[in-house]
Amino acid sequence: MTIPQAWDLAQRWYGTRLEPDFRRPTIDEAQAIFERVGLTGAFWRL
Amino acid sequence: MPETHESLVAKVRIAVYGAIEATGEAPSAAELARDHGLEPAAVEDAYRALAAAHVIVLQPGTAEIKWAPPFSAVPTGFRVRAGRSSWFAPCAWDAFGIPAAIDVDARIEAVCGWSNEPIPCGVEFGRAYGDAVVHLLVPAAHFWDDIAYT
Repeated sequence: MTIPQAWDLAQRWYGTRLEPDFRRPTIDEAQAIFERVGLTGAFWRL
Repeated sequence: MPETHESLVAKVRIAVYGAIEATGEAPSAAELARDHGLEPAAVEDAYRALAAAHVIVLQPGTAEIKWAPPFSAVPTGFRVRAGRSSWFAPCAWDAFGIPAAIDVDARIEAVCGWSNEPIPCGVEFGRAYGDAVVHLLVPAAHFWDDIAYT
């Protein structure tokens, strides 16, 4: 992935990690995050 | 309201991340228990619950935190600096995760996995810079099969 993709992914993945109500994304939510960032294809399939 | 297992785990997670953000180091269960008036065994249980939920990673066979992603409690090849603070990250994705998690601009010190050349990158004015490509070795569905290798 490119640097802008890594930053986009990092913000979506870790943006709430320190928040009191953080929870890990479900598999469907994680897949949606990957797709939103443009990470598609078999490598990124959960 | 009595403390539930869930609320204790959440309290411990917030305390771990608060400590590692402030110092770059992960607290031991005993330190965290002492600082927050908790039972050390209960904190160890919470560490194990967080590891089982893939929120943190423990040193094998211990209740010692190795990573609280995006932070690493052990030195790595990915160093993130913001102001006077610095942290280690487990990988390139997580190196960007630190400025994302704590909402700061940051310089990332990393080297190319092939050439060992420094890779200047980071976040400035909220935007990422750098023209490297981040390679992951393991497909997403298997990230947690062996997270240290991933």
